[in-house]
Amino acid sequence: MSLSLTMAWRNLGRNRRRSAITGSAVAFALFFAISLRSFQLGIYEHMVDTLVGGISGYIQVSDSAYWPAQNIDLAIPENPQWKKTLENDNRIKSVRPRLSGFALLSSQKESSVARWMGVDFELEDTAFWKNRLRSGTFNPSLKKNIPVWLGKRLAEGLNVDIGDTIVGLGQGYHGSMANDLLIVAGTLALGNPELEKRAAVLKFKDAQEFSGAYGMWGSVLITPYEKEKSLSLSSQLSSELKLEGASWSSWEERMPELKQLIQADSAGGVIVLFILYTVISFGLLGTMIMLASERRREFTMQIALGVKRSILAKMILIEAFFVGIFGSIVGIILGRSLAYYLHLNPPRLIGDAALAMENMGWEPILPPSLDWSITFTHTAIVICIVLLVSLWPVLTVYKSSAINR
Amino acid sequence: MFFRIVFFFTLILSNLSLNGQDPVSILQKAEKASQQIPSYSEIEIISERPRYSRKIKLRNWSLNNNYSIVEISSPKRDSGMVYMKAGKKLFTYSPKTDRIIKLPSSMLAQGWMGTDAQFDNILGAASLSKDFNHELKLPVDVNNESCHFIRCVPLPETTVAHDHIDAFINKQNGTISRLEVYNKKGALIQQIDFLEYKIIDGIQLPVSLKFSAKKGTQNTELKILSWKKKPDLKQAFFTESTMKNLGP
Repeated sequence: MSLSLTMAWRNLGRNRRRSAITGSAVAFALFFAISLRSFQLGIYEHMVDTLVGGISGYIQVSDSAYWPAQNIDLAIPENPQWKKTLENDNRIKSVRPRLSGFALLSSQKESSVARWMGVDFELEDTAFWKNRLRSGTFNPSLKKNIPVWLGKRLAEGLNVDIGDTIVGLGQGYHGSMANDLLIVAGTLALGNPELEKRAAVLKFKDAQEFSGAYGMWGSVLITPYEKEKSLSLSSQLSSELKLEGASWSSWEERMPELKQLIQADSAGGVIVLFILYTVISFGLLGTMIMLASERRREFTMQIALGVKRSILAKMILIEAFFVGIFGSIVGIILGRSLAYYLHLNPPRLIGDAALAMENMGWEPILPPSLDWSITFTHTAIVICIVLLVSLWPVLTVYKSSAINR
Repeated sequence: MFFRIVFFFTLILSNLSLNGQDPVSILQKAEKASQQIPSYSEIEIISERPRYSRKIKLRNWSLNNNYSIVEISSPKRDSGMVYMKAGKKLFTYSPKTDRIIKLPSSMLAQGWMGTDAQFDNILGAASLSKDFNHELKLPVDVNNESCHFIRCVPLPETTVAHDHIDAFINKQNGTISRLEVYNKKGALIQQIDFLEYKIIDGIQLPVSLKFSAKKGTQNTELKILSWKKKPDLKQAFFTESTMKNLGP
């Protein structure tokens, strides 16, 4: 071990209170930064996940004319081979074909327009659908009729319960009728009130049968492992894994308003963090100035004894780095555990705020993000700040003369 | 000046009536050539779309313009679907769901089964000679035949959603050559060409029609495969229970 490292390590233990104060300032800063940012980004993730993940897809492949009308006539033919190549791609988490259209659902005297969606449960994230099932089952024992899972508000509106029969009537594929009896097999809580009022989920094969679009996909939803890279991945994949007549789009292209909302809101969060870091930086600078003036005599003596100034400067930087690391570890542990705890038990909004959120289309919960990149970014920022403010004692080392005092 | 114009128009109008070219009688004669006879027919419809074409076969029982039943016999997926117009009411029956649904009569002016034919065209339309005001215009050539050009504006009590219909009637044999339907904005929404007439069962009938919409990018051809008189058809036939039990 080099001399400066040994000295730095011993110095940390020499005045434990001072080290603890500096470290806790770092820990405090990081704790706040992590929890604040986790919350903010978590809300966006939650928003995107409910609006994009389950329903329209991070990346969607569909006929070039499919958006925005989403007409069932513009379905694309099934292509199992292409799907297989996608599934084997290590950037892609899941590939899920969907088929959807609009129909009038009626039961007794109630009727309601619904958007039916053919979903292949075997290919889907089972947890996603299981978590959303409010009543009923995904494996109904029906022989002849088509089972349907209704959004819970749609089921309430139609006044139907599990096992009831409803009539579906709508436009089918290429001029045929989508007309059949559907048996309610369950109700779904989809986290978006508008969806819950409109969505009727069918099994994929049943949806093809219902609409007459045999052997067709309406669109294919692709979830990448790195969801935040959907946009670049979408254009990358579209050239690598071409599908005739189809175009690829990421959710940012299909829902620019959501993306913009997130960007605008996120900028506000960054400003708050900037203020937090400014305050913390001055706090740290204070402890560093204190440290420098406290140890001025020590430095002078060491210089007089013949220790090079550069070794002392190195020692101080290493000390600061250690303090930063220890403080960060404590801050990370605190911040992450709070985020993790709240991720498992997300705080639920009540009252008007909840209503506003529901109206905007998502469940009123605030689950923090568990993205490690938040932790790493802010740890790096905090350690940089610590090193920056430790330049003050370094400067002191160079300014102290060997003979004074 | 004003009087001169009035005089000029009077001259034209009197000239027209002198020739015996009364639009009502032309239309009456043209309409007599089709549809108003109780009949049973089998019809084939081919709709051409930019992306696909689709063929449907129908069976049709028709008493007159107001009473008509249509059953789809092919393709298999939709076979058994029944549409009925009884007076001003419109019903549809689906064997899959075993339900009869009453449709709003405004649907009469909408595309039928993804074709360019409207419910009106399939289930019997309003009568051009009875339910419209007429205005005779200068003759034009349509489908290489010289035709009378009559603009028909619906009477206030006529339940159609169009602004006016331009009828082109063949001068030689007095049959309809083309109908052009305009909406309230003055845009052509549907064009029907009567491509071929045949005498079946002693009646002259249009056996091949072409419906075009969206400026000709899509069209539907309707062909009468067979047609026969059904004098025993009564209004009592057009009931909901008949819809369910049409038989083979």
